[in-house]
Amino acid sequence: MSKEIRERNHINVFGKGSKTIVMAHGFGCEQGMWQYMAPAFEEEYQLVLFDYVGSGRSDLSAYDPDKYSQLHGYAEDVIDVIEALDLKDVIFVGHSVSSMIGMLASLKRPELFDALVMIGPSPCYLNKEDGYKGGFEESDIRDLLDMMEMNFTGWASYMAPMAMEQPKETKEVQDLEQTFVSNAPRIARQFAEVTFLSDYRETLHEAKVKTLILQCAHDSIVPVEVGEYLHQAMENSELHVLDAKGHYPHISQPEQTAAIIKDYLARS
Amino acid sequence: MEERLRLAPGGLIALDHEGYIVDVNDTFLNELGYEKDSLVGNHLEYLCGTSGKIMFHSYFYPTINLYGHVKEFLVKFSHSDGHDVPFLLNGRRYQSEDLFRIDIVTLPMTRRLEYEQELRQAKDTLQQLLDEQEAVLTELQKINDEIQTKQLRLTEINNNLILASNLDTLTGISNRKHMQETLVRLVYNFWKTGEIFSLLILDIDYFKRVNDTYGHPVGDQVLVKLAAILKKQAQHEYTAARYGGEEFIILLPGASEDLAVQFAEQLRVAVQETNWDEVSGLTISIGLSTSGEGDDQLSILKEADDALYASKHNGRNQVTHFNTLAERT
Repeated sequence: MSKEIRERNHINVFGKGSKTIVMAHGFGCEQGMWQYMAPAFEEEYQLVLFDYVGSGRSDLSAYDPDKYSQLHGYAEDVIDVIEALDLKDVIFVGHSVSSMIGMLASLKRPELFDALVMIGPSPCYLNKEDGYKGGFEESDIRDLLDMMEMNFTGWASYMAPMAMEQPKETKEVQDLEQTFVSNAPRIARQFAEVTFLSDYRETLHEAKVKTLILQCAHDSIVPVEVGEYLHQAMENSELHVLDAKGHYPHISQPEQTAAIIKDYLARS
Repeated sequence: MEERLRLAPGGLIALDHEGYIVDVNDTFLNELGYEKDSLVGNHLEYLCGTSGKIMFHSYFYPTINLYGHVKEFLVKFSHSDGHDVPFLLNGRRYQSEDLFRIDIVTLPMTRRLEYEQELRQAKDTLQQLLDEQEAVLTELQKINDEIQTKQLRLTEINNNLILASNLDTLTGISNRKHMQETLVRLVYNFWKTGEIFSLLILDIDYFKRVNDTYGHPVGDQVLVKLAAILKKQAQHEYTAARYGGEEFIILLPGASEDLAVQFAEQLRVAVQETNWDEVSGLTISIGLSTSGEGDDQLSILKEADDALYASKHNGRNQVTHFNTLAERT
């Protein structure tokens, strides 16, 4: 089991320290995104990096459209990874949609988590009729899916006659081209739908694990109010707004981001 | 930027580490109707719509940071007059000791995109047609399955009918028709391969008395009971049939004269030793014949019948083979 999961999620373990940090990438990415920030933790922590099934170098043949039609399916991946390494009380650092995935995993198995660090989280990306501003209209999401379709090889060229056979993405196909999601357009599309159409606001009050919410002041995807919303809804949370642009502070300002996380971990 | 680069046949954009526009050439500005001052200092997402913004942040930005380049990235930028212009972008990360830039080359691809849209539309139409075809095929398959199920059921009913038409309604063993068909096959087989067979015909002794004394219902019971004994003795290799009235025939494929006599004798004893209290005892007379040169189904039946007549004539409850008749006379 444990070896299967290690391969399935392409788990990497390194660093020295008795405490473990699990870092989980977001939509459209893979574990390589942590390369700029990870060095700051290597000396003091054991680090666990992995790819969700369907992303990066994970085993694409393990992708089950039913399982991964909800963030809960990805939360299973997180639990699997932690269990495969026989860990508990980990610090979970999740970027973007992974923040919610980590929270869902912590609701299911609280004993596995000591703390959550959410980078650019959002419980709901859509603007809702109740006045909640997630930042996007449904038409934006449809546009996005369209853009993805046109950007990733395999969509436009994925002519109908071939679609009939629905070949399963194999390991070989996967090894051909190691870029972001582009080799598995159907998986990427479903991940996009699951991510951008998700709404987990109702579950936030159940979260008990202490949580650091890291929000860029000028986040391009998640409005800054969403950070405040999360902080209000999660009782054991702390909000830190970074004076940064974009959605990837761990890439654009890795030292600063790492320092904030370290400070939080030292204090709590 | 030197003049040739400013007028290069493709747009050029330089971004800083976070994605803010540092420099841009005239070609790009002209294509989107902007002044340089209005773009420099802005984030590239200023030019993207909402979906373009997500694409930039979830694909372009992390990719260029992880791999150093992005190729053929399609994105729509807003023209200063408000309409969208699709561009194809190639980006590369430039890094020296004191400078970090993301350099981007842009080509407008309005017409390309129209071709692509046409292709996608064709693809969607095809897919729709395929889906419809698939649905029809599934329906056909379903109908076909139903037909097959019904056919199986019909075959089964038919087989049962054939079986039923071969059986005697009272006793449940083969009837005269089936016996005759089997006999024809045996004769034909004898002619073709020389494989002998014997025919046994039997008659209940004084059956008329049974009917007269105990009534027809008891007579029928006796027939049924006897048929069961015949069937049991015949096992699977021989065919026991009701020939008519109280006459029965057993066909014995492969049985020689001796074997047939032996079998018949066993049968006679078995019947005699059966408990027939309901009619105070019952016996049968048996006539036998075995296939020989010149025989056909009529002659072999006639021979067995002659032998049966001899058994009756000689006192009943006995077995006679036709071949022994000539010796006696």
